[in-house]
Amino acid sequence: MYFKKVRLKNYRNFSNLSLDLDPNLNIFIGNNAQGKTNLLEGLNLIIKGHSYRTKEDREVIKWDNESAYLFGEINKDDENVQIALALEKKSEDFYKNTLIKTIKINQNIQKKAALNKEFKGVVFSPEHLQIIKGAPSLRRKFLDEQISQIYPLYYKYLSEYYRILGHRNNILKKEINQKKKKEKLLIWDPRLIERGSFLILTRIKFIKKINRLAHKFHQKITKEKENIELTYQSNILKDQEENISLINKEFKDRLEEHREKEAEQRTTLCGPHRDDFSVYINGFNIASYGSQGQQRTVVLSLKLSELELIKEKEGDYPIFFLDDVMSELDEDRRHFLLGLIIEKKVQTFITSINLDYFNSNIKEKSRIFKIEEGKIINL
Amino acid sequence: MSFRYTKPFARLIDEFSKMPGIGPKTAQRLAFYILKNSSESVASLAKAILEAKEKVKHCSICGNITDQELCEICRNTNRDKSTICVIERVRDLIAIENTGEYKGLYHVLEGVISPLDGVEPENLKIDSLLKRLKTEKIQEIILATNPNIEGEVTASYITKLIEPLKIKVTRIAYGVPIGGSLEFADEVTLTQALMGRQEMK
Ligand SMILES: Nc1ncnc2c1ncn2[C@@H]1O[C@H](COP(=O)(O)OP(=O)(O)OP(=O)(O)O)[C@@H](O)[C@H]1O
Ligand SMILES: [Mg+2]
Ligand SMILES: [Zn+2]
Repeated sequence: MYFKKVRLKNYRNFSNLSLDLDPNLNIFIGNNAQGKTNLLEGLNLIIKGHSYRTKEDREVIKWDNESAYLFGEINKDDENVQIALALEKKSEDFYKNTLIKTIKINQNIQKKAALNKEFKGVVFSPEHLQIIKGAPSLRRKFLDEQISQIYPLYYKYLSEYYRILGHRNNILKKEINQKKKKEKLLIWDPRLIERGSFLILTRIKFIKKINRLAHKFHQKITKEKENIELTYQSNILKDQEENISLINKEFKDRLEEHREKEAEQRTTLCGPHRDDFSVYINGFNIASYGSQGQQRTVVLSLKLSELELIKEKEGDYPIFFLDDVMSELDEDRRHFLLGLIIEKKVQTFITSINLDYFNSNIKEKSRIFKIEEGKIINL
Repeated sequence: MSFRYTKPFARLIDEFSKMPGIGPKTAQRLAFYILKNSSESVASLAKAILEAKEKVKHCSICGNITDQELCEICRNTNRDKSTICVIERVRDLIAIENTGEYKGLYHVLEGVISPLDGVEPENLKIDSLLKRLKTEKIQEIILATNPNIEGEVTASYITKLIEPLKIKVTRIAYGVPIGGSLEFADEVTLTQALMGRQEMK
């Protein structure tokens, strides 16, 4: 799957941009604040239907404009697919401006879900370092997004789990009568356990899979110097269990053990919503002991694994978006990454301030765009 | 300062926008519609609203809406009186009736268990259902709550309560889109669902 063309109109700092893209490697070069990340974000927006940088669609409309149009032509399974996205502010009456988003695939109006089913992308941006350094909730979010992308049932169970959790916490907060409280909780507990155990098991299996892939990549990137290992930390299980009825049973026992404490703290204390995972390099926890470059490399290994998982599932690589990765990787690591992208023919968009990061061989094999104030300058 | 409508008109918009599925824009459109209509037709609309509110009540057996003590379905001697289909709301009853496949009776719960919305079992018409099971000669209960988590939990809660009574309990098997609701299911999927119901354990 790859972009052949992109056209942007009044999107971010681009008034009018039209590019023919390379099926393999595309490099966006430019000084700070010229629009490199904007362009990457726009391409991703076309296949995702929303921005990975903001929840507010209207933010991507060029300042002082009423609408933005994004258009992409993508080759998927040797067929050309046209995606058009329109973001239009509507102010037909005195009520608040509303934003209308229209997604069209081959001229037919479609929902975002249709887009997400057809087109896949993997993004690596500086914020993703938070997967290593940030709070457990960010790692859960990473896991959940990854798994949902390749396993739709997981997404369904995940949202149901959080819905059950909401009901359960509501009972813990509101019901004062202890007997009634327990009765009411028991209505929800079997479902919490069922959905929750499924989530735990799927995450354990997923981590195991990622472990194998990431290990391979990480060995190569680091010239066999670093061994990466991911471990899932469940507050329900002592060992990484892969038997669903056992997980069910453990979950049930933990809930019973926590009854009193839960009544005191008025919230659900155990379950996958409190789980985490850690990354170790040569036995040391990377969150505490890893250097910046090491942490970045770990995220890169995880992202490369994600690429492979999607390829396994879809039969084709997703589109790869790399924002600002080059600056913190040493030459060997950069070389490996670019080599891999070219070897596997993954369509990749990469931003960089400096063209010196790319050797002549790479430059020859890629298309380079210099960006200045929202325009492409010929090199 | 931004423009504001005159008070009586703003109030009308406000009342409309309290209605389900009506956003501010639609409320405004409806209010303009009222304004441009003749006084007679507006009076007739107001009368219809008041009359509906006064005369329509809930069937004392099943909870369906009716203008009498018992609804049409409960009064109908041709219905199969040994089966009760348990539903969340009256509008689900209408969806199932439209399939023409179901000939039994109904029981409207008036919601599902959903603590986040302040609904607990005691807020639902579950007691009256249990009473019916003891007084009427019921052989099968079909649980047709919606296929979302609240509907599922409500169905198993009721199943547990009915267990000692040794009545057959089935849950309708859904081809209904996951997370969808009965009201929006088309007739074909609903018909399939009714025929493919499964026994609850
Ligand atoms: N909606 C918008 N309309 C117009 N301009 C915008 C809009 N959103 C962002 N910009 C401009 O785009 C610029 C940022 O572009 P971008 O984030 O792509 O920079 P960059 O080239 O990636 O720079 P860096 O190298 O610092 O990461 C900002 O300076 C901002 O002024
Ligand atoms: Mg940038
Ligand atoms: Zn009735």
